[in-house]
Amino acid sequence: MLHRDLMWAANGLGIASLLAALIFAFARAL
Amino acid sequence: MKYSIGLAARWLFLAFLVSLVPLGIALIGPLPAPRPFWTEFGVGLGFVGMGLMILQFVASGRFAWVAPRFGADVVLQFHSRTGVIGVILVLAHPVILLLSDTEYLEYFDPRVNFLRALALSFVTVALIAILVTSQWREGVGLNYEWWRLIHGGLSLAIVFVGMVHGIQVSHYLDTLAQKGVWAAVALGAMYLVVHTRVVRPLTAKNRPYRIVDMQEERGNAWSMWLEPDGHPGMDYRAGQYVWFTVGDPPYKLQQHPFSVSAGEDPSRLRLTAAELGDFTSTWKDIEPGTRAYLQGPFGAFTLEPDAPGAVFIVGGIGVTPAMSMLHSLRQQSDSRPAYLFYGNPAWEEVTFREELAELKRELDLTVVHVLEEPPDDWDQVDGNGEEGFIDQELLDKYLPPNRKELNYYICGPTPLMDVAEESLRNLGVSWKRIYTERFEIV
Repeated sequence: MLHRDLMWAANGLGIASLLAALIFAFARAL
Repeated sequence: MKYSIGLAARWLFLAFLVSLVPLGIALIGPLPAPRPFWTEFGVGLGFVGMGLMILQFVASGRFAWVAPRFGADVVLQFHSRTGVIGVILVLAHPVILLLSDTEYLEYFDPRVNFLRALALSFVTVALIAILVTSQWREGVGLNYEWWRLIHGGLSLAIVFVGMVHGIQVSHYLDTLAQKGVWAAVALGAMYLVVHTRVVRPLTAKNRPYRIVDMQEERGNAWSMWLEPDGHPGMDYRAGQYVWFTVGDPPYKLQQHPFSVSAGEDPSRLRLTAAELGDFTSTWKDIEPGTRAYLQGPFGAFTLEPDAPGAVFIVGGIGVTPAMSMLHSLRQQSDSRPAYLFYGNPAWEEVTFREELAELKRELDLTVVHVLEEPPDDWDQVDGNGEEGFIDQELLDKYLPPNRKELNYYICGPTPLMDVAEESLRNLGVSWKRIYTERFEIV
């Protein structure tokens, strides 16, 4: 498994978490 | 363990689910009245940040049910990156809240609530400290033992304060059931760290080893032979590593990961280390007969039998797991071709030089020594001697036409690993066939 692919996966998880917080905020505020 | 897209996707999804657990707990109870978007976004960041923190406790703990799937090395790289992201999200939580409403400043006001202000100020500093000490451990002058202790302590403190903070704010954790689940999840994650750092070393105490021999190797390295003392020993696979502690008690600071460097034999194992850190430089002073404790084995950097051959691309002391696998191939009388690309500064510093020459006689093994400063008579010294560094051109020159079917094992300093990974990718080797062990990560 390559370091670069792994960093993509980790960054992807971070972005997904950020999106989850955004969706949560939109759903709650609207 | 064989890699596949499906396996990677499943584990990534599982990690995502873990990071959503705190947000899930917040949403299972009665929902409070809505607030402005930025306030809710700030709060959401706190919850997912907490989820990522909890994920780190699962990812970092060398657990048998996570690490063997991908290798502890892969898990640690993942931990390192997602940990940074988690810290940033948690730090963004108060920043966004303060931007949405300056009244939130009272959380940091000791006149309003002294303990709360102290705890939240402390955790803010702790988050920055854990980030700085992890990304620039050597830059801030921390040795590995102290860093590991501080890292464990700070991470426990951060999750503990996060747990108490969530309960105290109580906005989304209104019911007793929610508070209970929230506390159970946080305490459960914290226990994983305690288990790794305290409980497991204590169980290792029941299985001591005796150091029976110390051998000096080329390249400023030492090999240590160990035998189990009063138990059958450890069932490890060639290429795996153990956590090693010398002397009593087994949970003291000096715990280090070391690769096994000989073949598979539970009753007698060999660890080899170069004089790199504070700890390895004291190896040569260890007397035979000294007690040692091993935890493990760990790692998925092991031979996969599904390929028609194996290629090892190593640098310096990174040769140790490759030596172990080559010895294992010899034990099994494996006749498949093996290739070893081995980078070193100079010929006199090539660790296991003589042992490799012996292995070459018994295996279908091609050894390509790559030296930064080769001796004058380099062509006569070894048939496949190269000058410089391991790169794509060199790999292309020696790898056979069926290169895409072989399994690749890379271990060495970070620049070598980056070049080797990139080169193999350019040569068309699938990521599923590339196994790595980045020992510089710890």
